[in-house]
Amino acid sequence: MVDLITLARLDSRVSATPSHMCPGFTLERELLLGIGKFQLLEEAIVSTFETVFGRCPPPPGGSFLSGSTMVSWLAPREWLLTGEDAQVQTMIEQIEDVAECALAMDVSHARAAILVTGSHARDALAAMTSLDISDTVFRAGDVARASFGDVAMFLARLSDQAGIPRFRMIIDQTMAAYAVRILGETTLAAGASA
Amino acid sequence: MSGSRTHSGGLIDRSRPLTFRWAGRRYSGYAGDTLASALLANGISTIGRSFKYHRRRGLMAAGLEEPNGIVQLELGAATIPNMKATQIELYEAMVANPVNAWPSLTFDVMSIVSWAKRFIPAAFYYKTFMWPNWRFYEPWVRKAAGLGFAPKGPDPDSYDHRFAHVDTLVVGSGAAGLAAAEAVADAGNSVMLVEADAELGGGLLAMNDPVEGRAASDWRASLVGGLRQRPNVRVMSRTMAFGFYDHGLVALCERLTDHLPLAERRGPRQRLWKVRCGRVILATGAFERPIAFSGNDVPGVMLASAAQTYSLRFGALPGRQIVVVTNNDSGYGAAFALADSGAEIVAIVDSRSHSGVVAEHAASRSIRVIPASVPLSATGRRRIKALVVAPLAALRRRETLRCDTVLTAGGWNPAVHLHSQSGGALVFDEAMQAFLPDKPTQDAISVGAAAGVFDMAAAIGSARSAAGREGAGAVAPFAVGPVHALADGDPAGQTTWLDFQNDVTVADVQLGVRESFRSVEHLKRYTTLGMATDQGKTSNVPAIRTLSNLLGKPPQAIGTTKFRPPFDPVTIGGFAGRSVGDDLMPLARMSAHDALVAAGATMEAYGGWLRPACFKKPGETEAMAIAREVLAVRNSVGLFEASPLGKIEVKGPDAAEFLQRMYVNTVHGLKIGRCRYGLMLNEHGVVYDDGVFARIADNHFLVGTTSGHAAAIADTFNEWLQCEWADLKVMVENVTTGWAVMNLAGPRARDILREVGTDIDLSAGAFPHMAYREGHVGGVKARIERVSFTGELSYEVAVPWRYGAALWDACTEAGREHGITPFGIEALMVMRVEKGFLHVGSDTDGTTYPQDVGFASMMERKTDDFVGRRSTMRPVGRRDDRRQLVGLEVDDEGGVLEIGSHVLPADAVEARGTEGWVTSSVMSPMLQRPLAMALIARGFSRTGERVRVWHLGAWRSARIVDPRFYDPSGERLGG
Repeated sequence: MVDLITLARLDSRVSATPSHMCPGFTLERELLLGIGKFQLLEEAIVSTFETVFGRCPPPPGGSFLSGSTMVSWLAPREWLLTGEDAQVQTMIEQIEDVAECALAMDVSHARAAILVTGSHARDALAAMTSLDISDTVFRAGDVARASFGDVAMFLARLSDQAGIPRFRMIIDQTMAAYAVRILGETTLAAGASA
Repeated sequence: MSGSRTHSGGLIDRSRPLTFRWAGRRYSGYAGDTLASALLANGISTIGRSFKYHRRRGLMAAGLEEPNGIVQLELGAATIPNMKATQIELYEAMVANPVNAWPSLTFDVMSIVSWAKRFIPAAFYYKTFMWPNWRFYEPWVRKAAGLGFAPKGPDPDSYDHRFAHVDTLVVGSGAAGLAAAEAVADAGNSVMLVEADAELGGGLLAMNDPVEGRAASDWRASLVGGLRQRPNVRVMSRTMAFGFYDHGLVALCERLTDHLPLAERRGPRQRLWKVRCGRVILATGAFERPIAFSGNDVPGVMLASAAQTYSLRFGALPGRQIVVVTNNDSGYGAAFALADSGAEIVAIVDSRSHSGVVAEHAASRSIRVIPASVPLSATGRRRIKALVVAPLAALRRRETLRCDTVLTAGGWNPAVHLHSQSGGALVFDEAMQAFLPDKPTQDAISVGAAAGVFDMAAAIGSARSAAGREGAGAVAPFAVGPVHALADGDPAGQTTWLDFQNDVTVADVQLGVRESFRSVEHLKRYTTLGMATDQGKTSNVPAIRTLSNLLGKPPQAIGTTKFRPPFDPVTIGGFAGRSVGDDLMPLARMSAHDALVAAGATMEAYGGWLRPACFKKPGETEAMAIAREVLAVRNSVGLFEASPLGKIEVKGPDAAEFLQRMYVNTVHGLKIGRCRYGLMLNEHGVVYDDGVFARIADNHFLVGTTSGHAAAIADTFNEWLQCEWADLKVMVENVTTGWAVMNLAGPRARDILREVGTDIDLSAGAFPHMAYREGHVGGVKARIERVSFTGELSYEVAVPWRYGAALWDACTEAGREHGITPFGIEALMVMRVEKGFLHVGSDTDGTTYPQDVGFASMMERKTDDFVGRRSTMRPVGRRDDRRQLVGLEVDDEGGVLEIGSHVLPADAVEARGTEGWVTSSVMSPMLQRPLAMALIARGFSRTGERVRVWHLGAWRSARIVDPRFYDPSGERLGG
């Protein structure tokens, strides 16, 4: 029998970890990030969250950490899990077990996560999204869904690193090359940044 | 040549001389010049030719309102047509040329048109060129009209976009704008101050009067410096606010490299900003209004404020002997500034009887003032030589004033464009003879000259008050005197210009009114007044005044034409931003993209995906490759990446009921582990999508859609669930790009899949056609559907996306000894036509009902309602002449039919009364003959009937047949 896992690991197209240095910011593909998504029927929301996470769901535009996994609001009755792959898998299984009927799935293969970090990270993102991601409006832990150019995007502001803002954007994996390419075109010409 | 450079003064950097080429000749200027000021300083009077009559045109303004100074900037791929010389910052080695002139600006052959002006007035093209037909004249008219030319090659520049959010946006950096920005910033709000010019300061850059007790330049420097230091203020020059949209959205165009020599340009040329503003303060200033008289388009006639700007800011004198024509005080200021710069002011012709203190100042400078008088006509062809003036009350008592320049100061029109774009009302002020901003509809306020406040102290005060949301105090209106209005039919109207770029005269307006174009919007279209690149910034209000006089209605009753974005022209590249080339419409790539390319795939865009059309081998044509691929699938096995097929998970207690309502087919009875073909309609009953859905569990379905349509179908599902059936407990998730799908098709497909390795029983009994199984393939979890679009034994194997390429490689390797052949979209389409399978989008259009494609009996059997059902039962759906999907076989040796060919009765002799058209057409490698499918009126009942097929004048002969051309009983599917 063919071993697709080994074949895939040998495939440089998958194992590569592209990272791009741009003026004032860095792009890093988070290839190993576990990404899960779940939907719950209205009547199962509170009990499922209390059982699996020990707390209420995050408010719209908000998130919380469960262990090292970030649980983010996506839409009414929809949430996103991002974190260490095994932990995300465990949570998906727990949700499926606890809720009488949940649509919980690993979407790691369907999505691409890109970490945008740096003093000019906001400028880079502001070239492609109409979201207000200023420091006072979009704080650490805030999440949002918006357009990034021509594609849909989930954006989370992670905790700053030494005062440098970090954003995690998650898009459909087929658009990852587009996103990296178009972010990489960001040029901080004179007058472009505050 | 009359213009010249002053010996000193101005804001240009005389230590940095620059050279440039104009009309093939070399000239010099200084850093800080515009092309317009440099040309003026070099004595260039004629800078362009008008659009229609090719009349000589000189500079009229110094800013973006300039109608005449239209040039072709640079050469080759970098060339830009129809730039305003007044907006082009001079740089070293600039190359600019006049437009609309051949062979040269000074000798333009087409200027002969000007002599025939009487015969080609406004809208002549609506009344002429009738015989023999318009197309006979069109090439000549097109050649004669127009200004610059577009570059032939792709734009070498890049452009960018940026979004921003700000508490207050201040547009304009004159005294009012600077004061407002400072006041808002003092309150702690975030401020964005934008200025279209390279320098901040607006009118402060060209004035000698002190501001708040300080020299204007010092006052400006102090405020600009302070604003730049503040962390809550973003100051942007070279940035034009060109559009004010709903909900506080203002669009800006920032020029990043236009001011640099070509060789020094790096990065994006321009950046388009979309700024969401809490509040907008419009300090956009005002445009000076010209005064019309016969011959007012001769080079040397200029706005007084422009002449003042050229003199004080650029150190360029527009002439040596100047007559100033005015109806207000501002003309005097210009006259004094030019006199101070060394020009001779021949006279100030003022339409007012009493000018007060400014007349006394003129007298103290020994400048002659001719009160209560107006200009009548100018003389001169290449350049103005004299101006004839007369008392307004005695027009026959004329006096000729020798001069080389005439400056006109007819009052000021506040730049109300952005205010109006935002929805704000306008009100006509009789004293100012101008439209002022009235009630806003958004949180926006106009200040300073933009609000009709021209007194400096009052403008600054009103700006500060507005910034603090305090009401501005009452300000005395800036009253203007009368102007001479021509009577209807006065011959002088033929040579009295209103719109200088588009050659619209007073006589043209009179003609329009006589021909009943009395609405200002209709008049605009009829005469083209205000439709040039300057959008009527100097012509609209004088034209409205002319219209007012003709109709006997006040300007307020006439109103203005609609102010629409952009305020000033914006490059198409700016709107496109980074969305060009591969990023115009980003295409999704297949999981095995690299392997497909390595296998020789010809990749093409299909529904947002880059997919293989076919896999050509050396020496093969596309047709040969398609035929080889089809034969391989039919005789052995083929491999096709089908990842773009839509995959939507539908789960919940009401999932089956939901799908029952969404699809034509019955869902309730579907067993777990089985698949069913599904046809989906929209609310109008029109075929919208199709696919195969599988029942994973009692409350869980995997719904297939056509390629590239998954997102739209998922959205449709959610729309029905959220808007119509909120009581249904159903969850929907589009998982298309999470699963890579490899389709093994052909008699050996099962062998290959076994070779790759799976824990799923693939035997025909355990895994029949139209069944769904989950398990593992190659050690990873897999979902397999045994479905077929080729008519062969076929497995669609889905694995998590990252294993897609590995699965492709594994299948290729496992099938090597069986001659496994990769096949593309085109071969797949040939095979589905051989089978007569419907392809939604190809064989259907926006009028196709399910009964037209063979689903009538299925609908009749289904007792439940579903989306679109009722619409299919309307009378139009029951017509017996509906076009129905049938097969076509050609009778001749003419090869495949063209898709789109019209189908007509066998006895048709002319291409009229089409009965339908060819929707799909291929050459069948298996049957060795052309096959086609067509939508034909009453097609189902016409099997065997001969028809004629027409395409672009060529006739073919064909026969209507059953579309199941190959393996009609479907035996091969059960292999």
